[in-house]
Amino acid sequence: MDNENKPSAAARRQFLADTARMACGVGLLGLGVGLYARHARALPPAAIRPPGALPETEFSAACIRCGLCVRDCPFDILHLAKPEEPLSTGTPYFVARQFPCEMCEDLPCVKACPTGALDHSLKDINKSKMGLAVLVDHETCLNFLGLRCDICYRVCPVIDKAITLDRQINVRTGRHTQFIPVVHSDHCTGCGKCEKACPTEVASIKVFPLYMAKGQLSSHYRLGWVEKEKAGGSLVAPDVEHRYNMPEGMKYESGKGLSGNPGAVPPAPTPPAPVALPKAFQGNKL
Amino acid sequence: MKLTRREFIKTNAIAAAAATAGMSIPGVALAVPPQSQDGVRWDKGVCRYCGTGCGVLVGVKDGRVVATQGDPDAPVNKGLNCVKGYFLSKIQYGKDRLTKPLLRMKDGKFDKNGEFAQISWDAAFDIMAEKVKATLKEPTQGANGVAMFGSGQWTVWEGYAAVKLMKAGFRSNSIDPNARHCMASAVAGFMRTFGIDEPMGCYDDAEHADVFALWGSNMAEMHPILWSRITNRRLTANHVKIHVLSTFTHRSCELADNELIFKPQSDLAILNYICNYIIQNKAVNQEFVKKNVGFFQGVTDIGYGLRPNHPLEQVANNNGYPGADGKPKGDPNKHTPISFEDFAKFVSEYTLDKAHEISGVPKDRLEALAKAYADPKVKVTSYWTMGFNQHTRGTWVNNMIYNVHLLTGKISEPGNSPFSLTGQPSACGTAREVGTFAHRLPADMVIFNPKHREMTEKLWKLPEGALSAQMGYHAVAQSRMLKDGKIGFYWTSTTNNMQAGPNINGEIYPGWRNPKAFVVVSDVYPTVSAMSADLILPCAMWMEKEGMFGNAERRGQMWRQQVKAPGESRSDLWQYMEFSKRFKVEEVWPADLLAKAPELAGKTLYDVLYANGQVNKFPKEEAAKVNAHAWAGYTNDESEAFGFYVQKGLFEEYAGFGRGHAHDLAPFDTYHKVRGMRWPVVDGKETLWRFREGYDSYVKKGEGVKFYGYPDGKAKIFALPYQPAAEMPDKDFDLWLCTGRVLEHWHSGSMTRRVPELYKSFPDAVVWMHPKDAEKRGIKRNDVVKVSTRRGEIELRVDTKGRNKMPEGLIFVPFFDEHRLVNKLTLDATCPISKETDFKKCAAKVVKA
Amino acid sequence: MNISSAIIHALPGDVAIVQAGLATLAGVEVHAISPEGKMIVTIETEDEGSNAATYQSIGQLDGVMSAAMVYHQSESEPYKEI
Repeated sequence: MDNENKPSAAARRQFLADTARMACGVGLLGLGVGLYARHARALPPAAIRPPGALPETEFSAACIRCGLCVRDCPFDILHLAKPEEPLSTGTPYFVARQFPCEMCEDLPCVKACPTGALDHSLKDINKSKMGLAVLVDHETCLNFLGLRCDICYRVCPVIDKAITLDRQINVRTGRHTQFIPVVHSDHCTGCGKCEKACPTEVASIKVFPLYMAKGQLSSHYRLGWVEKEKAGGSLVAPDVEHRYNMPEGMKYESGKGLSGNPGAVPPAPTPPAPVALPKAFQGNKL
Repeated sequence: MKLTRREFIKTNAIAAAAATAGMSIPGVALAVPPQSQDGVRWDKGVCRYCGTGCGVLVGVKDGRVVATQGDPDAPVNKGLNCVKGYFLSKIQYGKDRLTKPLLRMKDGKFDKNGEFAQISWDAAFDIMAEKVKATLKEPTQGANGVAMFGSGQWTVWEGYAAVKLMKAGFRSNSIDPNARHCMASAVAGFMRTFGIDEPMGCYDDAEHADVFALWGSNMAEMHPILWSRITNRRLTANHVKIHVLSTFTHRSCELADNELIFKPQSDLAILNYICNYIIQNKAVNQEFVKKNVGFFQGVTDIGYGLRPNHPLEQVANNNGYPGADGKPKGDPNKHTPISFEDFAKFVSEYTLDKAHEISGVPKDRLEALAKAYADPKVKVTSYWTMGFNQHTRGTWVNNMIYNVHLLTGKISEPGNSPFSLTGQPSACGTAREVGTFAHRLPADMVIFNPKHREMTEKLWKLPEGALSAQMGYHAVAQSRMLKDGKIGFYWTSTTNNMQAGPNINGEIYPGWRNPKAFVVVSDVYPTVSAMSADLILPCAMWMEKEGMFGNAERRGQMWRQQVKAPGESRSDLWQYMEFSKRFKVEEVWPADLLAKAPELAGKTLYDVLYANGQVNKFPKEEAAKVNAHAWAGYTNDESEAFGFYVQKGLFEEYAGFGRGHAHDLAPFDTYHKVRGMRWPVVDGKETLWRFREGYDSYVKKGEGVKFYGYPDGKAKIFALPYQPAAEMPDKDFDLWLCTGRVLEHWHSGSMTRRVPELYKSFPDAVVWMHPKDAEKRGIKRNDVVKVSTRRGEIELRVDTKGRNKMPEGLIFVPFFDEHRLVNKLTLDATCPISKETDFKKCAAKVVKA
Repeated sequence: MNISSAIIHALPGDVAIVQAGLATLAGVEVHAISPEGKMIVTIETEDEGSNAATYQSIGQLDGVMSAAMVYHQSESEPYKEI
């Protein structure tokens, strides 16, 4: 942490003197250390840390419960945890379904942090990782049911990157397309706008802390198409040319199948409308 | 592989220059070991599990398979795998890999009741040779008393080397593969209807069919990647419909437009009803039928493949068993020509009402299915697996699905395809094409035909009469003959019959533990079978040896040996060839046979079978040459051990059987350069649809369709009736018991249960039953219950929900769990023609444990 | 050891002459010849200097229109297995 960002001791003392929120910090002293330690380990699912927050254990250690970030949040979305809440007392958090992060370009909360618990190297709010949106309930998501809602998609500050719509055939109607919202972890900031905006009674898409939301592929298996793209071609020798017994006018290509004169064989099935490959499957995104 | 820095740099230098000059140098340009940045070398391979034959790329680092990926360029799966394939890289590395031969011993000697102790390969072969020689001399046992139980998971050359050792070396026809339990009925069905084995279509049918009908096949779980192709077809073409026929509701029913849950065994009645519907509705393709089909009536009184003293066999007059006069009672395979009108009359009694009454399927559903088959504008592909094949009328039911396709001419063209799926990775390539069955020889030939024996003897450079015409013991007969003391030496490999075979309590276990038998199990893990053996031989598996598998669409696929096997494990191929050195021809052949070939005197079976000038034709340096396009300096363990490119020699000798006989395989070298090819490969061209002009070079111009498996070029339609199952629920055992698989585990779980993630995903077998059946017995979901039949009992938990939904009166238990051996309960009733066991039907009861 | 590769251009009619010339040079191997007369050769020499000398000799052979080095690597342990 560079020295410029360290608030002067005087300023800090002044803050402590004139804010009522100081009570929380003081309150901490009165709490049993055991309670503090228990709370420090994991973040409850609904509590999302402000942008730039360090990993939870480091954050708990670095945060001095000063409340400056709370003070400086222009939208008043941040709270300081109260003793009865299941996270370290006095630390800042927000609840997306109530008030999501508005993703201020100038990062006032981060700038306010005197200790680097909110990492000052974060300069672009779009690069923050407060959490990750997860479409938790496919049974209640309107788009999964075939309706056209897409609110989460349209409300997303990183639209078309953090959330895309994956087109799939609607089997029930046989003629419509379902627009399945797909969240991409490399762009989602975890701001919670989607959760806030989701129109179902209980949100079908929710933001969770990263440790809860993200799976991880094992290293013993690779995705063939990703590895191929990465390598710029097949990892092994290409096949020698295949040839097939075919009636006149017919052609068979590996991968494409049979084609040719429609009189002799059935026409190839009408190809479905071009379906956008979900982002997750494009290139080396995994 | 050995590659010096100099060679490596030179190859790089050439490749760089070639790239700059825009020239391609075959082999050289690619001879750089394809290493990714993390130091993993990738090469092409094939999935170890099912008959789908998905291509995988295998990643090796520091002599170990560290990763795999679906091969994006493999036409079968295009980079996808099911969850089993996802964990392929772990199957070779279970903690309890067998690495040394183990013999049951007491006081330093073999003792049938001793404890397993480590011995050397030499000592293992010593006692094996001693037991083989003793068996050959024992009058009650003889040549057929030397028996082998092999596998649809053998590589092509392992199966081929085994057949040679057994049929030509020991002159025993008692070699059978576990594929007998799996697709023998499909084979018998093909042979009876078409006179030639294996499907006429290929997986590309999935993209051309308008209707799919699944008969006793849960492809959603058992062939997951093929199923995703069918699902895609269903999702991308609105008119496509899927009919699923089963005795209970499973995952494949999710996609079904028409779900037909029928009573066990009533598929026979449904198929006859469909034929009747086609005829009644004038939907017979008259022109096709007239030109391409003959009609036959099969004998019906064929028994159930049980032991001859079983009451059902006593009353059967066409089971082929010895009668009171010692002569065979008829022939279950016998059939006589009839007319189309006779056939029409025969099936006319199978009305919609009758089919509904026998099957319990709602009439509108039966009719919808019949209509799909009858409509000339609709292309239908039928898929089936164990529901058809594991059936006491398995051959019939295979014949009868062809009846439907032949009557309508919906066959041998894109989208119109009766397609028999296989369960094992090389059930087709090895078990069937190589002919590792008791009655078979390579390329669809049989031991009963003197011409076939003669041709084989010539190709193998053996004296006339070297091959025996005496039928060997098939899988189920092997268990019985072990118990009866007729088999003295028994060698199984790459299979787990003590878990997967029927009626373990009644036949298999007592057979293996019979003091008159010496049982050898070659395997990679201590399976139930291995632990029941007298001698265990540790094997190399999958990428620890060079291999070739043949999948269900006639596609042969090869891979290179990627890593070394652990400890003293050796490939089956090495085991058969090395063991053959222990026998002088004089010790195993009668004098009169040897007299016909005095030049063989004093030679070993190894000399006669493998060092015969054909198999050892290619020096071991050939391995590097053939595979130079992949790695420089490639070799494999067998070639190093025997001094010649063993795999190529065996393959090329074997391929001599099929070339020019409608089973043409491409040259060996080609397979190492492609993601498999579908035979017959004629003039370098693969065949996708057989029997049709243009697609199949064996059909001449102007012939249109020709079923050339029979001399008259015609296929056979069979008039065969519905008959009840061998054992049905009664008041004592009031439920049908059906056995099978789950997606997470493959067969007996010997590999998948050693992958922790797969084990955790489905650790223990359960019995699925209908909630009402459970309630009636005072059983709740997750209770432990005792499931019993007349043959045994097992305890396991009940599930009334989840992936399988049982109808009332039927329970389902998967067979992967070695701690809950459901095959203690199954009945060893078989199709009398195919000799394949019906694992799907017997009578059981369930009580709270 | 020095290992390098080069692309040599000869008139199609002169390929045989160039090949004969290359055969006289120690450490030079021809790996491919295109119909247009492009040839791919490797040059292996014990030291850097002789590599350059060989390269120069190639350029002076009859029939050689151009010779371009593409790849070069020196290796201290050429016979070590990788």
